[in-house]
Amino acid sequence: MVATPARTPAELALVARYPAERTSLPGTADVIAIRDAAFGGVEKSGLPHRRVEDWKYTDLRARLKTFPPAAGPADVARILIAAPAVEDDKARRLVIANGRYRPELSDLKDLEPGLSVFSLATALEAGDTLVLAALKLDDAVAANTAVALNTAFMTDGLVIAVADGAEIQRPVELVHIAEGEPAASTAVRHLVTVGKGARMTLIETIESLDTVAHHSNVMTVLEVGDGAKVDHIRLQLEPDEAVCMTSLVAKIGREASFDTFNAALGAGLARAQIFAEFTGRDARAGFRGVTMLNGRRHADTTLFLVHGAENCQSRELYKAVIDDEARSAFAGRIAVPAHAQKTDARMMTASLLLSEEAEADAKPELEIFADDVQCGHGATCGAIDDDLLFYLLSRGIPKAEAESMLILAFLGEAIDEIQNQAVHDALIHRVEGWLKARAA
Amino acid sequence: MLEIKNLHARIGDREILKGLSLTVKPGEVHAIMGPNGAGKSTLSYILAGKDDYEITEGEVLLNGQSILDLTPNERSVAGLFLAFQYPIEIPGVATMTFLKAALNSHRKAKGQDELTTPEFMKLVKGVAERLNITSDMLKRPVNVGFSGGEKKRAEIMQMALLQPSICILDETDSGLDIDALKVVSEGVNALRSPDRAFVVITHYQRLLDHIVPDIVHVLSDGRIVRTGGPELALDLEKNGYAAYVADAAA
Amino acid sequence: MAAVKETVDHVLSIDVDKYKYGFVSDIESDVAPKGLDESTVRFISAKKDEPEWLTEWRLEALRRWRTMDEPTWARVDYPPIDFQDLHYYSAPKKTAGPKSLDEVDPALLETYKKLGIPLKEQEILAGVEKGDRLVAVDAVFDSVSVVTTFKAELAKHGVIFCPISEAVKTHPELVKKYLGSVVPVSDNFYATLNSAVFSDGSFVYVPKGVRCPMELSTYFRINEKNTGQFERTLIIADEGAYVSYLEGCTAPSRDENQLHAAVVELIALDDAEIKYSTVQNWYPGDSEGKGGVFNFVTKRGDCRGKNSKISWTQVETGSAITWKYPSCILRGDNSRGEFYSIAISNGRQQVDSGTKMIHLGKNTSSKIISKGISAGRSSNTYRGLVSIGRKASGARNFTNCDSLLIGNKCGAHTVPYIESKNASAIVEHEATTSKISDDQMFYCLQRGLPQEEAIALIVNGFVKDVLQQLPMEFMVETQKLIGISLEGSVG
Repeated sequence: MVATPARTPAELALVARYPAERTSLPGTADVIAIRDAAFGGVEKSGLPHRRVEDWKYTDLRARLKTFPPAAGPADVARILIAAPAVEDDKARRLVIANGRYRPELSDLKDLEPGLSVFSLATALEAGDTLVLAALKLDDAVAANTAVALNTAFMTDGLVIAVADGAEIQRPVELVHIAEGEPAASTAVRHLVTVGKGARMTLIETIESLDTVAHHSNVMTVLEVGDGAKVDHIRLQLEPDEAVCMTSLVAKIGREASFDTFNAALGAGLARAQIFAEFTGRDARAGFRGVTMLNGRRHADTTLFLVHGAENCQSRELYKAVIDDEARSAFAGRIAVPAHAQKTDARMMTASLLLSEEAEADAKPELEIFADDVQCGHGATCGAIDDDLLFYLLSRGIPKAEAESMLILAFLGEAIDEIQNQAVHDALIHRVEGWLKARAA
Repeated sequence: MLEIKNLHARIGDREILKGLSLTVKPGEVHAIMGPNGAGKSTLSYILAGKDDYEITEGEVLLNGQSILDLTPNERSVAGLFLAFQYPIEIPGVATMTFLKAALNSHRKAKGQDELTTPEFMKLVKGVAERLNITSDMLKRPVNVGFSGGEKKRAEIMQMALLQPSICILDETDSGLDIDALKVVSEGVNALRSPDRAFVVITHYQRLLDHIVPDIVHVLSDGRIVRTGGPELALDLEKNGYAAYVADAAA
Repeated sequence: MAAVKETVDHVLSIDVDKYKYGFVSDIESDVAPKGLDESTVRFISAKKDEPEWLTEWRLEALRRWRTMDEPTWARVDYPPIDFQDLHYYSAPKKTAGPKSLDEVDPALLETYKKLGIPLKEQEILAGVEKGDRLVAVDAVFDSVSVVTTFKAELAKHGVIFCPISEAVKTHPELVKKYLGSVVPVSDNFYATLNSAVFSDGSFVYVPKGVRCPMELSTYFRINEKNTGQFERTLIIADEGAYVSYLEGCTAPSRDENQLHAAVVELIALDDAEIKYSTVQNWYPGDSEGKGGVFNFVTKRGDCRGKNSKISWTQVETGSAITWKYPSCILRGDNSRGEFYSIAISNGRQQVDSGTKMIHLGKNTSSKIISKGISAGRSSNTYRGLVSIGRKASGARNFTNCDSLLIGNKCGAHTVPYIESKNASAIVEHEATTSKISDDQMFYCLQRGLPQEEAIALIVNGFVKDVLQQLPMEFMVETQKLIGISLEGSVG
């Protein structure tokens, strides 16, 4: 009954680009087959629109105006002089510029024992069987449009392995930089395996040196081994013109401890997706994030969590501050299969609307088949509390400052959960800058 | 009336009762004292039939009949009452509704007709008054918003209503000030009768000043390690459990 | 039957309108042939002697319906329905019912007994045919006298309360003005189908400033029988009016129609209030879920006037499939919407129910309290939307939806959508899913309650906030019903 709608400019660009690039993208024939399958799905269904439930609040078909060409090589000199997003001497910076891993810009000295780092492109070219196996995703994840586009167009990324029991002292920071004009697109895939009982902090920053409509698609596939402890933090700092889609796929092993934090501070169109699953019992995880929006920007956080094992605990906390005519969306689905007894999950999302034209959508979902569970979710949406504001004003604090204080307090509940001090401070610094610009 | 023979019980891999034996005759008041972790609360839960525990050996007879295969409600209507250490809050369920349901269940088991609402109200009011339970408390949901003392008084009120033959009081004195302790003890003493027995589980002697036991047992490491008269409780108060714990370990 | 078919075929081949009157008198039987096309719609409309505008209205719905697809987004699973294999019109009583209570499913009778329903009423509910349908006729005669008394009282206050088919004739201006004004003809697949073929239902109009002197319920509990599978209800509370309407019955009713697609429209003008309560306990099917009612209902209230209020209360325990979202459009400034729901699923039942609160006016407020209980192998989904429009300054919503699981073969799902386009609006949503606490259960058992009684007691506590919204006499019956609905959920 439903006629196939005409292709949009972005779809036309996609359909034109892929056949031209497929053989020049890194990888053996096996890799090309994987790419073809992924692209075939997108080509067939087109970009998702609001009637596709998982994209209800982010109509990609309507919002994605173009799909720029693949990025060329970056100007190394400009990257060298750029200030780092996170001031942290301890962090080991690994640089991915315009979609390509740049060892010469990366800190590879004195790699800790048990830590190995190499390029995905090299592995794809070599047809590394382990890496090929790691490209295989659960069907629902593989079919997701942002994921499928990443699979089709990925140029490089890092394959990181942490050996069983290894404690990686220095945080590993994956620095994604887009450089140059005109706008281009990149697709990067990281494969990170953290062995049994190992520990690591993984930071990702995504930024651009130019205020053009870059399109970046960053995906990280993370395996948290039994008893391992992983802290993952992503700062998305793209310019307002950019489009940024990120996907995190996390499998969390038995008795493991995992935290992930997503700070969506930039991009005109941002989508952060998390596909997480507890694969072993007695594990815990924290999923948190903040979104700050102004202008006509749009940001979407979508979390799919499968509480797939017994006695696991999770906490989800997402906060958004929305100004001007911006729009924020949060969709979180927690699924508890029948065997996952003793599941304990609490999801909370809160939005603060700062202007008459701002908009917030939320869809916190529970899908539960096990009876012995404690699951809950909460969602709130509103403006700054008048009583609190009045109290601050009555103590002589100017309105703009009072508002900033309250906004910071609102976001702080989530930000203060970040364990890594340098990232925490860098984020607070950004938030304060955002608030200062708003107050001015 | 109540006979516990060589009872062994475990929770998971941990053995908590290791051959406990106890005989309670009608009209008697037994006190079971013991240090923390001796298995006192376990004993009360096992008698009432909580299914977190695995009985590996032994027997429990109530009026000559084994109760270990009975469900908790069957044990209740058979005459066993447990006054909980921490009475459970049930939001949304009115106290009166709860009491009526429990009472009627007991009456049904005895082949008696259900009480009419006026009869029931009269009965509850009478019992409640003696325990200083206000009509306001009866209007609230079960144990919700009750203070520690109010909860314990409500437990004794239920005991008075259900007229059990054996009452297990699990640390009934915990969280009570001296006035509340008196009210609760008086409530219990009023229920003492030649055909009703009590097992009073407590850590401290002070409850036994008010509910004077006939026999005192010391429970340590899952077994009764000493049995005596009321003077045993006084000795424990003075010298502590150390000597008995050492006995048990030996 | 053959004669009917011939006649219909004949009518099909010529201009129906010309034969409208003759057509009716020609037909002995009161059953439309299977299938749905223009002639079916005209047949129904002619049967009811409807004015031209209504026939056209139905035909427009049919045209729209033909372009629509059955919705698939709800979490319910059932074999495909062949819409051309159904009868869209049948006058009351066509197939043979059980001849006596001996032929009725003993489980059903056991339930009647527990609910304390008199034998005679049991027979009516179970659809027993005695001789020449004496039971049903008696009941109707009984009710007629009651109705007469009621009608006199209502008439004194100017309240109109009659079948909608009658209102079309006696108050066409009201029906024309309001029918389809809340649920538009092409609103959704089932509502559109209903618009094309609706059988009958209630019409209520409460004039300005009138507080309806009674709950519009008792009458309806008997009258409701035989309104057919495509019921249509329209309730209008004029400025400052108040009415409380109660539909359904705690007793499980068998119904020969498997598919039900009702539409209910409520309109509250300035300062008016409508309270609509439902107890739905249709046949849920056998233990495998076979034969149960598919209940696809569209219920919507329009708070059209300022300071108006619409409150939905529902107790859903029956049907094999429930697809139902009683909603409020909060158009008038300061208007209020409420939704209180208890949805219990057991056996193989599937429930996908919730509400929509659409805030359009200033300072509008809404409250959603939903309690879902799933047991057996059932699936129970809360699906709700809270939407705050750009102009809904000062809007306020509070939502609480709690789910309780009994056993680990059922599912409980919560799918809320929260959409806010106004900064001064405050939306709060909270949801929990858990099982009956072991401690509470043990405590009740220790006091001697049998397990099922303990569950019923705790569940009644769980749903108390909603129970309190029901009219008194229904509250007591519903408490019993909850216990009965959960029988066999454990063990």
